[in-house]
Amino acid sequence: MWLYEKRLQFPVKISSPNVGAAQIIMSQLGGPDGEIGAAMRYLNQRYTMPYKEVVGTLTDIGTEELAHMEIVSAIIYQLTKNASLKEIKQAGFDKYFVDHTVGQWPSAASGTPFNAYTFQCTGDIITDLHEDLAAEQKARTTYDNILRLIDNPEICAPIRYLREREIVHYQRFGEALRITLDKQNSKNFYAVNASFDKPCNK
Amino acid sequence: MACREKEILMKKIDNISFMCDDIRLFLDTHPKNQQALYFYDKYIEIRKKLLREYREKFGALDWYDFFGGKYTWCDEPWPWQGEV
Repeated sequence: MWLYEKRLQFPVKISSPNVGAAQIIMSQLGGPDGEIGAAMRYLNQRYTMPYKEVVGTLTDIGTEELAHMEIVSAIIYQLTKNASLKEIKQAGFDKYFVDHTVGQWPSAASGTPFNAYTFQCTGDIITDLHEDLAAEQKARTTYDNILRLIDNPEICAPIRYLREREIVHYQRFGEALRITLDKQNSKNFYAVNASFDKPCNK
Repeated sequence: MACREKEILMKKIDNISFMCDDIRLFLDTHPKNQQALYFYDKYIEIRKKLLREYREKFGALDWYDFFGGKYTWCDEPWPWQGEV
């Protein structure tokens, strides 16, 4: 069960439309390192995790990613609301507009649709945690690039917040990996999958 | 005036909730850290009071809260609209 709270984790208040910026930022909704993929990755990985700290971390970070998805969507919504057809054409947003108007269809900035192949759930705790560490850095890089392309402070404030969260999540996943390795070292030197090969957990 | 008050109260709720969110993640990997746990409990208490104040003045923020005889869930602006 999830509980919906009627507020954003970080406020978004953008006063004028900018469809070009919306198109770029859409990558963090449905792109290869976007928030939908992040939420799906962590929330799907948690079921087979053998250690309670890791299950807790994946549940809580996965849930926060759902909130980040809503922040990114809020930015896109406010950047496309009241945009004129002229602005849409000038920004090259017409190719998206023809299929989706200004509705939010999860895709990368380049137009590639969201795909579950952008993330993994291997059912192996060590592989999955490394995937998670890489994912946080990839998302951080994407936010860095968004900040290189956009300078409106109203847009940059929530983007900077999201970027900082990637760094904190990376830190927590690093600790989850350390906890995992500490629990395995004595009897599982070669890091056999503790999620499936049960004797490794003893 | 009421709009400004709502904005300030929402800002307070956002701030205290963020502290809870951040400490919760820290506690996931440091469950025995007493200092973090102390601050978590303290901030959750403050958050509860702020949520109660918000509900009494402007309506419920989450599903499992009282509506007090008037269902306003769909009337208030949604968070992504940038109006609060």
